[in-house]
Amino acid sequence: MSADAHAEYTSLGIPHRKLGFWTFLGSECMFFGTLIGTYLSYRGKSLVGPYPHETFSVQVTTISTFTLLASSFFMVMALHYVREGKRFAAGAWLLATAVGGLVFLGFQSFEFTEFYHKGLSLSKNLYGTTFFVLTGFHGAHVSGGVLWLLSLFVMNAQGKLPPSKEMDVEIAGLYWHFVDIVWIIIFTVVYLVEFAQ
Amino acid sequence: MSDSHAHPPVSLYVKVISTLTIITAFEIMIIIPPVKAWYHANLPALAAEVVPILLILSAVKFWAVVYFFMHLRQDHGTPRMVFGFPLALAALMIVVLMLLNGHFV
Repeated sequence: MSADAHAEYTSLGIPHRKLGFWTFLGSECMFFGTLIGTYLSYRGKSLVGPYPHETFSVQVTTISTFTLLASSFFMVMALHYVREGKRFAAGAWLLATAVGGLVFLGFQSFEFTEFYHKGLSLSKNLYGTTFFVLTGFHGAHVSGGVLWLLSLFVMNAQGKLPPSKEMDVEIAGLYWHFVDIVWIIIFTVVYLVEFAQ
Repeated sequence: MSDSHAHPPVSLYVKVISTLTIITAFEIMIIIPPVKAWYHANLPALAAEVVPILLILSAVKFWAVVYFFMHLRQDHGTPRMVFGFPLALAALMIVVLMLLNGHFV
């Protein structure tokens, strides 16, 4: 437990910063819920191609999904070692998490480029608009998370991430896991269901 | 204070990520064309339930990450409320839109 958390008075049973972040994540649920809902509302209503089954590649998405899932595990390991004060191990896991995010973004860029070459764009049809907006916003969140993780990695390398600062890593972890759970839903609703039907 | 809880052991995280990996591998396996063709031919009842099965597995993975990796199992009370209520609203909205548009049902 951090020294900051000991010093802070709270009647809610949780540090204010952490509670504030949970509230933010609640608002993010509504944000992504709206985007997923919009994708579903317009699913199958495009009047011109290309259509999802003509563009999706299950191999690419599978690899990126496993990478993001693994990075969630790397994140909890990073938090574990920050709490234990093991600076080198914490740095290694933080870097691994950020690299996992970068690999995911690399696959997403590859996928977007492939889709574009297949004739799909943001304004091509309803599928293009809803797909790119949904996955694009998710990718933007992953990008923000990668920058956050890299800044923590630098702080750790400079010795500015002692166990008393565990809350900084825990909150970054909450964000990173949230990005992962959003992808869990997108992967199923957008990709898997398309192949299953 | 909720932060006074004992931190989970690494072995728990390993079990969770192993379970998530197995579930994801299963999800992908059942949409591979030869596997899909096999259960459509031999298990037509299962074929009709694949989409609900995928949605349930996705919900299980979602819950596992929130509960164990985000430590919501230890953060009782207010965090569960401020996260759970909007999450429930968003889920309800998605389910209603799926029903209205005739997807997956």
